[in-house]
Amino acid sequence: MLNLLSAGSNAQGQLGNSTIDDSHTFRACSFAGSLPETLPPSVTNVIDVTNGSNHTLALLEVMIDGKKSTEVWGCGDGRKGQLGPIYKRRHTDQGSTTIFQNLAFADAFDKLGLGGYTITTIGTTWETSYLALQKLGKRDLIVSFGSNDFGDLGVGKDSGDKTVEKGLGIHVVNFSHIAVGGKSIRSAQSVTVEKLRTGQRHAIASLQVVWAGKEPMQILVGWGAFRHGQLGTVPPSSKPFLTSTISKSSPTTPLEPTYHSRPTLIMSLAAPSDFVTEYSLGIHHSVFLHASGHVSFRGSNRKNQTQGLDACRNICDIKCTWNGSYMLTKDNPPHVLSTGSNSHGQLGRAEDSSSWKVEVPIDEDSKAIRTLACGSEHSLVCVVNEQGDDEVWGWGWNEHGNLGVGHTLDAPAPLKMWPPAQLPENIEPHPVRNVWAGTGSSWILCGNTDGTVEKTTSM
Amino acid sequence: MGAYYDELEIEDMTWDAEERYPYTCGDRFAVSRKQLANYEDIAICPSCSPVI
Repeated sequence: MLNLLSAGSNAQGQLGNSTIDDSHTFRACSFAGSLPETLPPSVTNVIDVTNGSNHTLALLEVMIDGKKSTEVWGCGDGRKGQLGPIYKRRHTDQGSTTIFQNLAFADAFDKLGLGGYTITTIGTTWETSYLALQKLGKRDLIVSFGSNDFGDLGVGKDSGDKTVEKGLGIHVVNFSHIAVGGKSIRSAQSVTVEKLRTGQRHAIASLQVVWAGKEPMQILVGWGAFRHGQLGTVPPSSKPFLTSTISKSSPTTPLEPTYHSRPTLIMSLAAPSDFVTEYSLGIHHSVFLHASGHVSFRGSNRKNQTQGLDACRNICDIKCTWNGSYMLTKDNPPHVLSTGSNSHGQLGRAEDSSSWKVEVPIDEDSKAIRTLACGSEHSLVCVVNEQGDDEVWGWGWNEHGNLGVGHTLDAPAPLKMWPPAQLPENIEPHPVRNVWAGTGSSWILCGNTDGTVEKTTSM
Repeated sequence: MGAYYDELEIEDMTWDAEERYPYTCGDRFAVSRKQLANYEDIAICPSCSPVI
């Protein structure tokens, strides 16, 4: 049976395990309407899991009446509307829920004229959530809901503007004003959202834009906090690297804007070899992996999080923690490279080592790193061991037991997280289908879908 | 108290009744404006131990 497990910080029930206690070991998540500690029987895959501050979104692939579609479920803090309007009402009446609820956007989408769209992608900043939507024959869309403290909603409204809370609180992020080479996205023939990635307070979407008679272009647009250059532009008046002096005359009026409240152009790429194949966002930096295997970046290097990245080659995946950058190499077997803050052992290697290589104890002949996931200040890899079984290893900040190894000590070198010495009941530890790392939390999807799916589809 | 977790810039915090800054566990450090006016610029995350 397929199981989603979580460990770590849980003050608002964001682990979805029926409690509000931190979990120092992996426990199965529960979903409303299904048996405890199981996924709904219609679920055939968990496509993505993402955390904001105290809320979680999960994008589920479901098979209902022989038809495949997606659903978004969520748990934890929904007070700012970051889990959608239905959950917010429920939260107001009954408090946060500690098991996943179907966020059931269909009615809201109908009211907004977005009926028939499929949710393809999820994302979260601190207290804000995003969905990318697709419908045959239409341009792809991104909708946002939740807090707008740093212009997170991307709708051109300041953080103090309460009109964003009116109605359903779901907003369509508009890109049509962005222009490349004198042509605006408004005039394009098609717009596809390739990816949506989010940091703590900023979001970046990669779009494939086709103008009539032209080859597709890749356009990256971003919004939210930009003061450290994480969206590629720093306003001339800001002082990004100065620590403010706190004085008796502490500011009582709002400070100058530190965010873009609507999408701004980060880069536009015409040559497929330059296209960004993966990218990731920290707090104050953003990193981009190009098809050629080289890396570019925007934003702060205050914690060495972008230092030397431009010299990296032969990279096949890239991820950010809040203050670090992590890369998977194309070597055989692959290696993980790390740079950035090491205040809690996040680098997974000696800080002064000549190599950036994280010491994942893999046997070069038989183990291979499959997946790299980075959370707020910890990282995970999924590896295949000598027996061909999957294992999950992790390192870094572990104050909330977010590595799931039964204690809360930071791990300056990788620890084996999964399978644990004592398996939770009724859990098939293999195969590990995916791993995710969030805000002080870790997530594992494991087991087989066989049987459960057949039963559902035969009904 | 041991070392500081981080030194932060006031512009990266959010203003409401309190000055707040996110922490890795999902909770937030908080300092009130009154505290700032009294030169108290050390905050503790309500969910864990770090100080800024």
